[in-house]
Amino acid sequence: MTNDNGNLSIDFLVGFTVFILAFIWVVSMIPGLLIGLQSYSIDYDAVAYRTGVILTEDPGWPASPAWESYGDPQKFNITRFGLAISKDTPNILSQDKINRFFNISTTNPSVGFIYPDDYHQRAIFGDYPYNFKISLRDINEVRKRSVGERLPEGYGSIRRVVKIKGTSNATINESYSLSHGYIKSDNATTHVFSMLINNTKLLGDIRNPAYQIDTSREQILINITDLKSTITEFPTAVPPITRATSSISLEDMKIYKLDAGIYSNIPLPASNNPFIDGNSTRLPSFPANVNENITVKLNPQYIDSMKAQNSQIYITLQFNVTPASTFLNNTRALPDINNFDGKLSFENASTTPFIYDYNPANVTQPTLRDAILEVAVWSGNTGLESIEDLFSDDFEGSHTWIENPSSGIDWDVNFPCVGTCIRARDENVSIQRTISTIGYSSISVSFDMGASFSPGNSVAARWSPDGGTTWNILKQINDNDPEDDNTLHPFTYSLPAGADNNPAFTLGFALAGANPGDKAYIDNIVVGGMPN
Amino acid sequence: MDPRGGNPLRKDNPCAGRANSDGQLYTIEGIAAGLIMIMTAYLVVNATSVYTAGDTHISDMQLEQLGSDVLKIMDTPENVTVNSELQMILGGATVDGARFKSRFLALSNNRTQLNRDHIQFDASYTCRKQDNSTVTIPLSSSRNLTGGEHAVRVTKWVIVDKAFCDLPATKPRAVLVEVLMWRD
Repeated sequence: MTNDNGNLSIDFLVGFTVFILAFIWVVSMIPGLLIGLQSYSIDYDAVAYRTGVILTEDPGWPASPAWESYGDPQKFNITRFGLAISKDTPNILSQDKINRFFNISTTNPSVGFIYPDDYHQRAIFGDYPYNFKISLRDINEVRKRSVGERLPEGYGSIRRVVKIKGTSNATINESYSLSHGYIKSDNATTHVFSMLINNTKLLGDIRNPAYQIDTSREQILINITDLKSTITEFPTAVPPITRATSSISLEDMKIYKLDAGIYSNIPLPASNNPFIDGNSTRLPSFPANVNENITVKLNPQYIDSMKAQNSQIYITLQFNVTPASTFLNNTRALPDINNFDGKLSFENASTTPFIYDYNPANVTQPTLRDAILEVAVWSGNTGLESIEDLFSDDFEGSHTWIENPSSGIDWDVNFPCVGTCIRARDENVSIQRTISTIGYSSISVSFDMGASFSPGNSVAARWSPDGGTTWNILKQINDNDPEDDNTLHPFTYSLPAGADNNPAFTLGFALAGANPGDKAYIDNIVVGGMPN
Repeated sequence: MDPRGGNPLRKDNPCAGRANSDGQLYTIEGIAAGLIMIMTAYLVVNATSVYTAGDTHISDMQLEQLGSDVLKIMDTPENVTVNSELQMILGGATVDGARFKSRFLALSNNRTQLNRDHIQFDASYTCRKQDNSTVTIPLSSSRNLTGGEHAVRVTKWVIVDKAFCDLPATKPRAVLVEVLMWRD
């Protein structure tokens, strides 16, 4: 009989299907509810990226006077950190800004910046209390500078490759003074030496801030050395003139600004007084006795406060030498030093000031160095370990390893070396170096090693707790191992307690390969440890 | 629903001519069938979409930023008296791929911490020829590309002052340096 009784089960099927589909739909929505929790790691990366951009591409705020010139009592006026020299030169960082940024205090809030508050407000931003670590490493230096806490297991990060602009400096020594006629041949008591910073030319000749000598942004440094060598000795004179018995007194240092044809005397604050004879603190007042050296270091904020961007700045040093003798003197001071007339003195054929300019013969020009900046951001617990670099060698500079015998070692620049690396070849040979780990534990070693062998040969990386008497193998590459492919491979090892706090800790590499053509390569050695 | 079932319009149905809910059955079936079809279509369309892991773009972005920084630094002279490294590499008598490799690996793998990164690359440069066509020439590589790498691409225009790609050295030329980079 034909009827529609079966429709009942179809209804059930339809209902069940609709239920299942609805169920699947709801289940598929659940991960969406957790997105807020899931996105924290993404958020860390984004915050790290933002901070990395601010630090490497922004000069910070205030811009004039630059934020780095604010002392600790005025640090609350700093709105934003930024390490770039200018907004037109991203990735080119200022050494002065770096020095100020990493001036950290952990105890005294009136000295340096405080982690995390000062940095959070000016570099990380946002209301969320992130933990962070900002590190900067000059590639050519082992030492890195960092602010922040120890890294945990998981964190968001960004790594930026940057260049650090070094500061310019000049040295006026005996030979320079002689060759430039800076020694006055007449015997006199009072001598004046002057130096010229022509800002109009400095800012006009080179426009790119990355290479410019901008005295209102970067510190300038002039070393005057070998002062006594400018005294011509007359032991038979009365009184006798000898370098050993002559006394030199730096009577005063004056700054003159030439602006639109008018000279003005700019008061010199004690914070810009010179350094005498290698002393690490500035001269508190004038006059002062000098033996050999004077270092003039003018802070950029002082120059900036002069509003001397289009001016010429004359720095004059007045000396009294007893007994009267020849001395460093390139300035005709008229009518006298206390009533110094700029026009008569500096616009005078007898005055030949030292010129701080772009001539490499006069001034060591600012150069750019490679560096790495890393920003890591997380929340919650910090890490337990903080490994610091104790020693590193990429063999790009001088080599101070013990070679045995040296005939089997060369410093190779060909494939697979990256730059220069060690190549041991053709004979049984080893190199080693003692690296004191005093003050450090949890020693780690990393290096790149590779080989190209004939049968039966090997290269071993090894360490010794006793200066090389006994050795422990870290990694050995034998013939036909996967690493025997003429390519460098990275290795990292954590060493046992015997390597901790050990002045005789020694790292070594040994090639057992007496066949011509056998080669082992070693590069990028880094030894790290955790400070005790 | 009529528990006896049956079509109310059929003459042999004893309930024919009376109002009942038999028709409801067909309406529900129709709606359900429609829903099923829509759901099926939705699931099929969803199933054919290609998804990447949620965070992949973050590491890609980080790698791109790093590569871009490295090329920028390599094209920044140390001082005013010298050319940038990229200019020296491309503008020498012969293109110095070994130097490019050395510097690119050093800059991209260095970190502030103890351990080094494991970034590899494959680089080429492209220039325009006299007939206005372009030519791409391998520059250097640290590993051969197998196709399985998750690589990102970074580029940098470099101004080179020499005869390049059969063009005479009458004026500086722009050369596009292109780097595919990835982590081992």
